[in-house]
Amino acid sequence: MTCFPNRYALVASAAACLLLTGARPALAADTLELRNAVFQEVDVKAADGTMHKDRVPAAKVVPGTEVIYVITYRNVGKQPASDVVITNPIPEELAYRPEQGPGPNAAPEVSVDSGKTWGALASLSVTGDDGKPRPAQGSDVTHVRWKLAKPVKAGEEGSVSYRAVLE
Amino acid sequence: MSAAKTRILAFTAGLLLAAGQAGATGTAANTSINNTASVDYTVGGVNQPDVNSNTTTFVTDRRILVTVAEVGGGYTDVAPGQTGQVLTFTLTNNTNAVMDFRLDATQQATNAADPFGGTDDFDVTALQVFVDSNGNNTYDAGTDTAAFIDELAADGTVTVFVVANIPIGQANGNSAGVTLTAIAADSGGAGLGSDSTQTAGAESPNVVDTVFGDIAGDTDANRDGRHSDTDAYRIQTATLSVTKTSTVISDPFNNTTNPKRIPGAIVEYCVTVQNTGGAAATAVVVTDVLTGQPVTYQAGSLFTVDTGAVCTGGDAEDDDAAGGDETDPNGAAQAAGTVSATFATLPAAGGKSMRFRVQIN
Repeated sequence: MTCFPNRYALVASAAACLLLTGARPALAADTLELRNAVFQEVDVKAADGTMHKDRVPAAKVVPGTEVIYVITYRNVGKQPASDVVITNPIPEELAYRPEQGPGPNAAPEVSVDSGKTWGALASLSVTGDDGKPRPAQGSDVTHVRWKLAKPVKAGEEGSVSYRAVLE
Repeated sequence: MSAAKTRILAFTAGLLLAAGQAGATGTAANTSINNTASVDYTVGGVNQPDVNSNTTTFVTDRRILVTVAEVGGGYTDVAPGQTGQVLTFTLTNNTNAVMDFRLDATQQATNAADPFGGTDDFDVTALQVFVDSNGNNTYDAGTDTAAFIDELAADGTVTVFVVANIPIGQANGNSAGVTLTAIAADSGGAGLGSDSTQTAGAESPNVVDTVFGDIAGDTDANRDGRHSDTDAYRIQTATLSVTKTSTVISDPFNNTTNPKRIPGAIVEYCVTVQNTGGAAATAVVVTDVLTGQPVTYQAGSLFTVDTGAVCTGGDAEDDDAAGGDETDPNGAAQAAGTVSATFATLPAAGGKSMRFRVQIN
């Protein structure tokens, strides 16, 4: 894909170009680089007959399929990046699947109001169909974010991830 | 999709809703799911511009799921010789895409267990399948003519009729099972598409793959792109038996005291009909021909009994003649040595009788 300005370019292409341009020396002011990838787990039968799950790029996704978004950050600058907050709006068709325990790098916070308020899913509520508040569920989550506890040093790379189910 | 999420999106990007609406069948196939993350951070205490990630994209695939269900939960009662008898099914497209469906009706093998606790006894004839064309859930001969389902939307349900003739000569209680199988077919264009197939081999994130997600039906397997259910016809017919008895009433010598069947004696005949079947019989004509027998019908002795297979009481025939002046309820008559009565209805497990007297010649 080329990234020359093109008034016919699709939104998705434009967003993807952002990353490529972000890596160019002209815009090297960015210290952090962010990559997003989506996977799914498939059952694989090993030669000895045992089953295990392999993580493959999300491709065969039907309602009910769980996908895993992995967002990788890397400090491409020379100084540490502090107060790092990675935010991901969850696609409308997906329901956030809360995981047991914190993630490997940071406990995610979620929002059910497009990022106005944040917290653990269990602490949030939404207005139900009957007009009364009810506990928020994974399908109510609009955004997920991670506040990294420690600065990201120059050259350091890490990732955060979450699971979601296609509704 | 949650109501809360819907509302928020409705404010910001109403157009998105059309692409990703999730009904009961879930997100429509061929929906692009895009996702971009962003990061906010500081360097040296100075907030830096947010950085966006690349946008990941995958295209949702087609999960084929179809449900066939017999309607009514019991036998469809029919009578031998009836034509155009209807079994009703519903077919629901739980696929997250528009689908065509090929329909196949197959008769159960004799002695196979039917869905309602019996076993298959016979086969119907002229078996056909039709799709309800006007949504009235009633088979309209000549109107409901399509034999396959064309372009059924996700979450859509349509009624399907199995229509057949019932052969004569079937005993009361016999059943005939018919299994309706719906086979998912690709939509698009007029007419029935090809049977859908699962995508084999490597999948592609940007192409709509097909996955069979159906469960096993009566005669099909899990994840085979089809579903089946069985309904059954049951014969409900009248089974009639007729009995004739005689009682001597009097003779010329003993009168009514221990009368004997000698010339000149009066004998009462009683003809009873009983229905031991499962359906009412109508227009039951009982006839007793006395011609050629050494007896003579006694005028005014004819009665019909509606209250059971009994030989007492009943309604007197007014004039022994048939015709419009009849006052007895069953059109009883005697003409030229033939005694008859017509019972309009003989209910299941019911009995009726006619009785009359003759003199032995």
